[in-house]
Amino acid sequence: MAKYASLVTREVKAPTAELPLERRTFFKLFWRQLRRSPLAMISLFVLLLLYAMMLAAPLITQYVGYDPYQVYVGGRNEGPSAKHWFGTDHLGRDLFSRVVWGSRISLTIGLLAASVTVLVGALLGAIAGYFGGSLDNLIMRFTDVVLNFPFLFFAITIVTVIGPSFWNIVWAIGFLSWPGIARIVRGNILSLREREFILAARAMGAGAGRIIFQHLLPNTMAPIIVNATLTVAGAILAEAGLSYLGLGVQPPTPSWGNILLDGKPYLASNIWYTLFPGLFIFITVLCINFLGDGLRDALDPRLSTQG
Amino acid sequence: MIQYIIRRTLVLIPTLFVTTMVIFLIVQLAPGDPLEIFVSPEVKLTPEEKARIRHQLGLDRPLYEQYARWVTDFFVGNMGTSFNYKVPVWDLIKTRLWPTVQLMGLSLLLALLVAIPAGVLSALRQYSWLDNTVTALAFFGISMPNFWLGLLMIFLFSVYLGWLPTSGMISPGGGGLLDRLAHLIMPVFVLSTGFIAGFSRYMRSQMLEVMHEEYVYTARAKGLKESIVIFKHILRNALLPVVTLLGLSLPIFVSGALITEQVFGWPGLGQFFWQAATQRDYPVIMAILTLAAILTLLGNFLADLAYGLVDPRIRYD
Repeated sequence: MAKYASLVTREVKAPTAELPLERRTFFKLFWRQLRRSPLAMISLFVLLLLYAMMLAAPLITQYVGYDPYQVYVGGRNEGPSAKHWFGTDHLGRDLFSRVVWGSRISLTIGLLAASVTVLVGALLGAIAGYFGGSLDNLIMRFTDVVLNFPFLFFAITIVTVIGPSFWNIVWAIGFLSWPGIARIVRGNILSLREREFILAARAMGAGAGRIIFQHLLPNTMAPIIVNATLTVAGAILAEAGLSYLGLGVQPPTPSWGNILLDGKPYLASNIWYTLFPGLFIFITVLCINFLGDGLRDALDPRLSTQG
Repeated sequence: MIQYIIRRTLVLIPTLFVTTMVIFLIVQLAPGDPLEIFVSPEVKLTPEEKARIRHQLGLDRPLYEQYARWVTDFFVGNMGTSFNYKVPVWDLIKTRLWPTVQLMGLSLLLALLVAIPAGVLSALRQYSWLDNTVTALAFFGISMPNFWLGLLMIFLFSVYLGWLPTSGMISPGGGGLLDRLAHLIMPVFVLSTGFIAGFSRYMRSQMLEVMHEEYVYTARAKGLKESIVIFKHILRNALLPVVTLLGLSLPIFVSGALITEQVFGWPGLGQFFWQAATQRDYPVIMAILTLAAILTLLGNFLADLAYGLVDPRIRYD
């Protein structure tokens, strides 16, 4: 008996001792793969710059010396100059500092909405996939229903009904985006749960929560990461679209979308007003998409041959 | 096959039921009294008059009864009366439907005409400069906010060059075919860039998948001409899933062009929906949402059926 006990403890100990090492090699391997794609690395670098700009917005505008809300007398709808790098808007506010501050809305809503999407989607997908049966059926039917909603129409309806504010936009985008991830996670877990290591975990007395969070979800990380990245891109575009329709964060708070809305009447007289905020949306989303593509190749080499 | 159709239709019913229920509930969440939207704020009403209108609109009934009435009315073709225009919702939708269908139909057609050859060529010459260009353009296409692209085009072609009209469907007073076409060019271009980006990637990956099938190697091994291998063995099979894509595109005929219509002042359903949303015209909002959801379901259904028809490998049992 004592002999067996020591055998069992040794066997149980061995994998737990190796676990951190395994994890590190997964990320190392993944990082090595990602570094091979110059496009993904450049995109990552640009995105880090953009997020640094977002965090440092107060410092940047202080350095430039223009407040995003203050009206500067003397120049309305001016083109770019040494004074106002991106020119001024129709009220005479400095467009550069407005675009820099606008990143706070666009970039954080993108991240937060994607977080809501991933949390809800992964959780519901994992529950549906692990428990199966009628619970699975119920969750997946509801997923189908939400998947059938035309995104922009529902986003507009929800935001009109509950009011356009920062968090309401996050909830609206999150509520409409989770089904994609739920489906992917469920599909992965359906096949994973039949594997031996899950049987082993169950034999050792692990509960459903432990199996889902410790064993199943970590093994579906690859598709979740890729999808989360693309969700950030989608959320930024959706927020910009809603803001452009006047349903985003309300002025005078700048966001890239509502600067574009404000600038539309002055398209003929001041193209810079439209050019710069849109360019920031475009570059951000482009970099996220490139990064997502690189992540997909790095995490799943099988897919890379198929483009 | 017929059995399959019946079973799929039966599954549609609960989905549709839940969808309409969610739509109804979202609108119910709206704060404020719908009566205040229905009656303009300048009109002062006595409590009795209010109660009478409330009764007329059915607002005094319990929620489940209101829902049941709305759904049954909807499916016999009565979408209710617009709060804002005080006319039947369907009459309003009818006049906005054609401009949107026209816009989306042309955009979809253009997208297919460009995306299929682009996807096929870039798969046949994988990793060539052509493939890389198509890939780069596709990434630009999906990353570009289409309203921004629209605004830049208006600046270039209407303001700077003065070639094309900025907005609307026809010039006031004008209305010849050329005038209509001139109004269509920019919105169609903007809408199709998004589709082209997605479709060409899809076509490319389908091609690459089929190109590595055994029967393609067999065809080459038995000495068939390369053109026959490409057109008869690869292309025909790679095109099959495009049928699915067309089915899945059905709902965009209602919901696809909202922001683009807004940018170009196109008097379609998307712009109408946006106006209804800002005016809180709930009967209109609910009707258009439900229509769009029905079209999505129908599109999925037709896509599955069509795929089964063109691909004999798919069996329904």
